[in-house]
Amino acid sequence: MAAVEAAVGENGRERIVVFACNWCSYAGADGAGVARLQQPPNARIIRTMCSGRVAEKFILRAFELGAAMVLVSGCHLADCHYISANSWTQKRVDRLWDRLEKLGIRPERLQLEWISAAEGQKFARVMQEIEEMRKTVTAEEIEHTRRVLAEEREKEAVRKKPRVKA
Amino acid sequence: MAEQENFRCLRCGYEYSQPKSGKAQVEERICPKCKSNSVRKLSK
Repeated sequence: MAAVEAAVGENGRERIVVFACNWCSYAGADGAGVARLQQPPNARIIRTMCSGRVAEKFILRAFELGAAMVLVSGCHLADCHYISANSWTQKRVDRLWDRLEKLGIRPERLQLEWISAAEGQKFARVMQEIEEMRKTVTAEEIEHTRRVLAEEREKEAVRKKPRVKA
Repeated sequence: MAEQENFRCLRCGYEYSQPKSGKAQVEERICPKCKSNSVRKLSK
């Protein structure tokens, strides 16, 4: 969670938070860097061991802190280092898209992409496309997201609070 | 006739439908237009 907070930083409005798996997408991003392909400078990459490790709360926290776009990226479905952990990612992101829509947040702001270690060019292209989408996210939208998710978190905290017997 | 599932690409907005897969495993979704994997299954 601290990594998410550090990644969003102070200038969240322009921020693209990327969760990249250690084995494929992070290597793909590295490949794009080595090949000197153009990438948006406002993206921050958080390396996770697997895209299946990216919990819903990490993504929601990034949005709550003001991130404009979030990308979850992992190995192709048949190539997961942890057998089928990234199929959970697909299901989790599906759930999150529904949840974001219910909260009045554009689900397009959360993107999912399967990028292998050999697909540096794909990583660079995806990042450029996401940067174009990021430009369409308004300040009002970000403010609405922050408010709604903060309220959601408070409700959740109240619900989870243990009841003390009198 | 096979049951259809509807999908929407969250990158380019393209909507398409395809026959429902009988496989229990999760399959990779790819937008036929922009090749993005950010494809959302639409509820009926």
